Amino acid sequence: MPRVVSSRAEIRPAPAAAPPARIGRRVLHRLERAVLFALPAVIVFGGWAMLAAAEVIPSTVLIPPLDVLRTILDMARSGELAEHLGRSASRVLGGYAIGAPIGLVVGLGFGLSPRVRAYGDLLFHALRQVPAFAWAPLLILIFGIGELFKIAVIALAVFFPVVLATYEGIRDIPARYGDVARLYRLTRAQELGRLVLPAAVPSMVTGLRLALSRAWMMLVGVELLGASSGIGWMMDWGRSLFQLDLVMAGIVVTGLVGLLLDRGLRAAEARLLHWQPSR
Amino acid sequence: MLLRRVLPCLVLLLASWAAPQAWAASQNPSVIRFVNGAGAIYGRPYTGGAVGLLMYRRGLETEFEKDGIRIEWIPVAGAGPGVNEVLANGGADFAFYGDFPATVGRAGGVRVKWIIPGNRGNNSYLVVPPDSKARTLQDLKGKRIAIMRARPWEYPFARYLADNGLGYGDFQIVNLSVADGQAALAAKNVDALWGNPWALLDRGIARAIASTHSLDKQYQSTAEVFVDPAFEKKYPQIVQRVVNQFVKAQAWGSDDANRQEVFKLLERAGSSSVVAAERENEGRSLRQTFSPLFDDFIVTHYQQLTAFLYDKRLVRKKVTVDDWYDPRYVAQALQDLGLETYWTPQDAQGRFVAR
Repeated sequence: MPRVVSSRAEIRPAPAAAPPARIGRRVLHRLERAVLFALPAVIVFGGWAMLAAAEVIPSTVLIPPLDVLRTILDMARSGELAEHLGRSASRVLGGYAIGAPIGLVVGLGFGLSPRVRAYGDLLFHALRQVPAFAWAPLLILIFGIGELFKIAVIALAVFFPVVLATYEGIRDIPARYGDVARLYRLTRAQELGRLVLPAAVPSMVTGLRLALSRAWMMLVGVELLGASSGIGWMMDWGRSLFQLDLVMAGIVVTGLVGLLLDRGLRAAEARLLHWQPSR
Repeated sequence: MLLRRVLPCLVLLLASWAAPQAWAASQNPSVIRFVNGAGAIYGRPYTGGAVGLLMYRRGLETEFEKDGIRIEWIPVAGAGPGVNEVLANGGADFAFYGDFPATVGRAGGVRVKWIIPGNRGNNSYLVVPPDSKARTLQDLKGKRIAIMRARPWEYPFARYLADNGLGYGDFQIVNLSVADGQAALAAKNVDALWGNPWALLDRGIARAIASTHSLDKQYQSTAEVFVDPAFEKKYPQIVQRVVNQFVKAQAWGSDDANRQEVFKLLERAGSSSVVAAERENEGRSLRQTFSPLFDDFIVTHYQQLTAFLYDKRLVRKKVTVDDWYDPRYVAQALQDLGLETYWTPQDAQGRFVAR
């Protein structure tokens, strides 16, 4: 019997001395990625600098980017930036640490218990429509005007999206998962721990990430209410004293920190959910 | 023959050069934009202060109707800082706003010229809840005082503290907006408030334990009229006419016979109540409040205020006062209206200078 030879082995040419060319291609590829990444930033900052220089918008209002950078560096050097960032971060993290776990628990309640859904669905969706700031006067009455009430506002802002994401994560589990559980005669606890939760985790994690972004974005508004430090306070102070470079510096710093938070959580999300086939 | 050909050409040339010039000189602005820095409190437009008199009397509307010039009153959110933003963008020709934001704006690069002192003598009060045990500033040491920072009343507050040998560190200063501060005081979340919470005082929800009524007159805030230099350069006669109308309105408001009507109009504008206006102007004629004179008092006021703001690092550049104001328009207006002796100048301490 003739030996069946793999046609591929015969047709494929012998590999050429490829290594140097492949490395060069990789470097080029990296360079291309870097340029694509930097290009929008260059366009934005370049456009900003040109607008300010041309006084299309007066330079007292649109501060040139270099001046903003100088302000940021001055504040970093004097320690003010660290102080404001620290205060803002403590408020956000404090609110998050309260709102997220409670949100997870309530979301699980909604997702798993038809009774909780029956009682709470309408109320939850009604309350969810209320913007977090609208709670401020009520929260001031309860917590006074110190740090606690600011943390409470942020906790509220975090709570609702986390509940929703958790609830929807559980609700969107395909029915056939339940069939699998019944087939394998899993106990309720096993079904929860090995089927329901892992299936809901992607949605929960996304919800947690979005909630943190939201909390950080709310910071400026929250700090308008009786704060005397923090990035949001700094921006309001800058506006009152017509030092708009403080406002622009606040915008830049807020944006950067928000980006870092988001990227960091996305990386954590990817690690956590590495088992998903789509990733 | 040549002349017959050339002359029409010359005439045409001359006309084509002269006509647009003449046309431009006689050209008026189509609109006069006046930004009013008192802004809005509780969402209602706040037209208190001397500019409220002008708006009420419709001085500008009637004056410029025959020229077909429209008057545009520009509201701002955010009071003084909002006016600075409008001015920085060239969004107004005239502005009426207070001493504090005007100084801050000038230090920040807003280029406007001060042409009329609008009103002086705005008071600030240290208020406590009615059942509070505090009787003096010293009683409040270590306690919470609400104040809206980076706003006009910070200046008298800081000076009042300094006069009593105290500083911000001796208290817990809570930065709250006007509305939030009043709510906090009413709910006793703070022990005291510095500002002008006239609604609380009227209703007895707060009690004043100190006020600028009994302090150095220089601690009272003022508000003035400013003009955009570009507009002034183009239309100096329009500026003079506006100043004349403003001073005329101030004269109307200064008349003791109109005192109650002025208080009622302030109440209607939402910036005060009749009771509060009476409290503000207790023991003084409105002629003192609405004085348009560039006297020692007002110039010293700005010199002290600009120095203070620079010392406290609230502004980054020292603002000079002497090149900021132009007294010629008011002088001309007083002459035109025959009001040279109507108002009495005040010295640096606020005392009337004997004529």
